[in-house]
Amino acid sequence: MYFQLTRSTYQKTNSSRWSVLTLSWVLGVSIFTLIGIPYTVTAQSVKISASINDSTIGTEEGLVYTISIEGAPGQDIQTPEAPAGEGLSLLQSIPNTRSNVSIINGAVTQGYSYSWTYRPTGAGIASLGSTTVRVANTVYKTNPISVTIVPQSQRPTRTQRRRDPFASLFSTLGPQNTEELPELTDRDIFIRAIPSKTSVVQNEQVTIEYQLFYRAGIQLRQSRLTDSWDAEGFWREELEVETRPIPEIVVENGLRYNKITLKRAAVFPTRAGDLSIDSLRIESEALIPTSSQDPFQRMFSTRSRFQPVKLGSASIHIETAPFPEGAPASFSGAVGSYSFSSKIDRTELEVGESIKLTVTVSGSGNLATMDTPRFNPPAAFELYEPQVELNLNRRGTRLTGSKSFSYVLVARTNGNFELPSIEFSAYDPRSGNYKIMRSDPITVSITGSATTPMSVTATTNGLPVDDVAAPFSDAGEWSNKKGAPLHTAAWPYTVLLLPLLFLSGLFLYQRHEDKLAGDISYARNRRAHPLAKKNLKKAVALLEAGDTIAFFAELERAVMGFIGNRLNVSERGLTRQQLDESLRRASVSDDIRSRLSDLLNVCDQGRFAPVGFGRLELEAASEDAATIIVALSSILGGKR
Amino acid sequence: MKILSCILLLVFSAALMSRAQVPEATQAFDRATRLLNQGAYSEAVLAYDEASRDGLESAALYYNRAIAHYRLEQIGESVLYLRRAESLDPDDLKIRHSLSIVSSRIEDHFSELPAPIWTRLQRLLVSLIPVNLLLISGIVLYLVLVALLVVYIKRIAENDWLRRARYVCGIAAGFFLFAGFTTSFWPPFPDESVVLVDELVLYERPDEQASVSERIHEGLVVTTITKAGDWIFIQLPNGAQGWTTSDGLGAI
Repeated sequence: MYFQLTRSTYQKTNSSRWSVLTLSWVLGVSIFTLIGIPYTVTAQSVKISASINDSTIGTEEGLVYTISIEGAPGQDIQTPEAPAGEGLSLLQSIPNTRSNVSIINGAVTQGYSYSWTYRPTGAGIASLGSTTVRVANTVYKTNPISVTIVPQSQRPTRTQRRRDPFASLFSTLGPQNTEELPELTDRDIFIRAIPSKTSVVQNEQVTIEYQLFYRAGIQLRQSRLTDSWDAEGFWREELEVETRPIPEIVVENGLRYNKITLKRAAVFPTRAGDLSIDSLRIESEALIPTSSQDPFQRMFSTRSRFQPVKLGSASIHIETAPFPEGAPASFSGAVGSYSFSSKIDRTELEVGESIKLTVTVSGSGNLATMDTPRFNPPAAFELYEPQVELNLNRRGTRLTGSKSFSYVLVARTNGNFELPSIEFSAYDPRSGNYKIMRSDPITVSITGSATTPMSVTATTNGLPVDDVAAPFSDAGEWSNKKGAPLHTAAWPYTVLLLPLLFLSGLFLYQRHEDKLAGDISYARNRRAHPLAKKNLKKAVALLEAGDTIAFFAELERAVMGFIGNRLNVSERGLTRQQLDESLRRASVSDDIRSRLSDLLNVCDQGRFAPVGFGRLELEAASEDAATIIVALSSILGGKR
Repeated sequence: MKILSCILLLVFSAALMSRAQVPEATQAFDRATRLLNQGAYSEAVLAYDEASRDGLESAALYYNRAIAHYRLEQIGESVLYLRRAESLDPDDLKIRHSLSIVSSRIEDHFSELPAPIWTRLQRLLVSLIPVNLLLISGIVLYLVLVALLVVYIKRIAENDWLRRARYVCGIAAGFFLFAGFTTSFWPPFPDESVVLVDELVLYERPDEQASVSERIHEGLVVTTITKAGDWIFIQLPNGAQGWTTSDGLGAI
């Protein structure tokens, strides 16, 4: 059976404490009456609660009134009487009795409950009077409970309970099996975000606790966070919560809930203003108890009755005020409740040795972002960057811890020196004041290599200990300010590239020269065209001079020399047949060979019987020679 | 030959011109130092500024100016000029001592990121031979190598000594040029600046509406990574980075 229990207020009426408890009872009733929040009274380990299944019921619904007693043996409990009802009629005089045993953290707790069912007599405000519960020799008294009775038509439609347990079993085969799953409402399951404060000073700690409330009987599984929880404008530190929490039974707004703490975080606003913290969102699957009386259906429909649920807390707004005025000079933003201590590992040392001065700030606040306290030791010491050690205690409802700053100082000069006090200040929101804490000055004696103790005002080099050295009286060596870096100028690259090109050219030229000197064929081939050109030019000059014999001799020399160079044969003593054969082997066409033969014949005629040659014939012969050289050049290859 | 003569003439003329400005700078320096010793620190700063107006610098000039700023409680400027003096004369005890004194007045103390091994090697090399000298040495050796190769190619002369000289010049030129160009393009000492204002806000983006990532204070030396208009992206000694406006920084 599904009970939605509402707890009312109880008051212990132990006779020995009557006056005090009466006052508490009066106060409890007053609070309950004014703000409607019930409270629980426990006597020693006995805890008693009473509740009703709903604070609002329909005129045709039943009201179940339950008294639960935990922590007391059964034989000590006297069965209580049902409270008298106004506007409600009791349907049973003998209560339904149930007992249960729970084990929490290894402790066994036995509980008993007594339930009565009432029926409303009409719409309106009904009430149940107080009743007494006797456990051993102690008497507890309940407070009256009010119930709102509304017409049944104003209540949500519910599936009629099946009176026949077998009907539902058989009906699962048919389409009429339409058992409606109860809908989860915000009243059944919700997340509550509880900030420790909503109005703070910048950097003051605020603890946010997210609590999941769900009605008794609801089971949850596969719960997970859906979004990344964000708190922009805050420094965040997670606090520990139980990874396997045991639900705590609480009463909220007159209804009984299981409560689990999902998350706890300490946040520190890093700036002033109205800052908001995102809601915490989870997804889960909830098993809602069915009202069916059919044991088979209850057994087999468990899987289908898990419903996905999405929950989210309300976002939180934190009003952040800036740091109050009047901050001391050493204040660097620390806000919280802090203590400050310092210690030094020794006060006597030698030059070159080191000492360690450790200051520790402990307390509750944002230790992670706390700045290093300023420390200016005398110049006789070389100060190293402090080692910082942070210890945070994330247990509990506030972030506490300590932060240590260890300054290592190396003595550079002998003498007696006083380490100045280190000042730390923080704003304490509880007192509303800045708190300044200082370490005590410490005198350190340095002995060592210096044979005579140095004055505290000068180092071994004669330089002042606590001040800058005197200015230079001489300007020293002047130099020009650095111009553009060398690699940004163009000339280095030019200087590197030009010799490279020069070397490449020189190498190729030298190789060419070597080849000319060592390879006759190459050399003749290379020289063939320039030489032919030179001879032709000379022949033209002879033509202009009117020396026909010399013209033809030069023309023949040009052609034959070109062929000899290109074929790398000696043109002297070469017969016409040998020449023709050589050209034929070199794939020179018949036409060119024929033209060459004609030209050579003309040259012979011109040299030995130069009669009948006019200027036109001479020019034609010169042109023929040039044409044949060009044609041979393309066939025999080589450089022109 | 004519070109070489022109270059030598230009270099000589430039040297003569700068030498001609030395007496004026020295006079300004002496006057500024007298003012400094008389306690007229602001006037001394102006006079030192005048001494360096012609593009001349000296460790003493920067040091004395840093002292003047220190007396004026201008810790940022004091650190700036002491660091400049230190860059010109890194072994001077007075400069190092005064720099440690002034640095103790700096509010921010950050742990420093360790430099990679190659950067440390570069710093060692650069401390021995300046970058420009590395490059010039590499170029000279390269030209000698070219001359030796010309001799070899033209077969003017050849013997064991010339062959060894070619190898030595080749290796040496390669090393100097490689070291010179790598240290030029990836300098071991990045551009540094000093915070000159009481507090400088670092933003996550070059936008004053962006989230504040850090607040740094006067005198802190930071590394300049890049610039974008009036914004400058800097890195703190501990590696944290952020954008800030360039008007609060002085380049060392």
